[in-house]
Amino acid sequence: MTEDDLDILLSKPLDEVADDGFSMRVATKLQRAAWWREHVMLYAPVAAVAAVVPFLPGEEITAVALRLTPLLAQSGAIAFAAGVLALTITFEQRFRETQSAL
Amino acid sequence: MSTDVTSEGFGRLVREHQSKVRAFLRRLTRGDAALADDLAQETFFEAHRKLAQYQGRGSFASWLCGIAWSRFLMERRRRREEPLGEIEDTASVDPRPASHARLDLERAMARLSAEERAALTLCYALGHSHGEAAEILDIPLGTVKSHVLRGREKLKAMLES
Repeated sequence: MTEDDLDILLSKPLDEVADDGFSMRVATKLQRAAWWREHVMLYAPVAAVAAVVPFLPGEEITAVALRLTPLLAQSGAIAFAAGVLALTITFEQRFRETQSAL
Repeated sequence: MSTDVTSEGFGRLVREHQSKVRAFLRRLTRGDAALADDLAQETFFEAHRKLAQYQGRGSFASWLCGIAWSRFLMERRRRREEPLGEIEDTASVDPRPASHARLDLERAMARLSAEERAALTLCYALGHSHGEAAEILDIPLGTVKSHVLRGREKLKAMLES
């Protein structure tokens, strides 16, 4: 066998592999994985909270909330922080709209 | 080259490149079509996850071959394979009709190291330059050249005997 013969043999393209549903199997598995990811992201936190809620001291939390709510409502610092938060969210939304328009 | 991450767009990419990736992996796995297809599936899953990292420096097919090669290496580490005495007769694994010369080549190829098989396949059958093969295999250019050279010498000797 000459060098040229070997070159010719090696340079022959690999045999075409028929799809035979391979692409469909990949697509189906990807879709299934995406579905699981979406649902786990959505329901896992809800399930975690639902599992913890029965063990929380409900009466004590309610009492503390009732005591704190009027104090928070009258607090200047809290009002300022809420204002900054609202402005940040508004700015971020505008920014996104501008970016998507571009 | 579209790198659409939607299912439909990615499905098109899979259909377009599946033959090349699966054929490359069949060569690497010495004709084990089932293992090659498993690795090809993993290759496309990983490509889907990392699609945002594809920077368009080389061709998309080269990028896929690089992922395929790394999946193959992971599988090889997992199996701790490659004792030469256990090489299967690749002609019996692949039922498609092929010329004698082609069968001889595949049998001889199966006796090379995986690195030599990959370098020869990329540089000849898949038409990549030595530089592209070096990027795909993530090894220095000089190493690719020596794999090609040594692989060719071994093949020539085997095909002549």
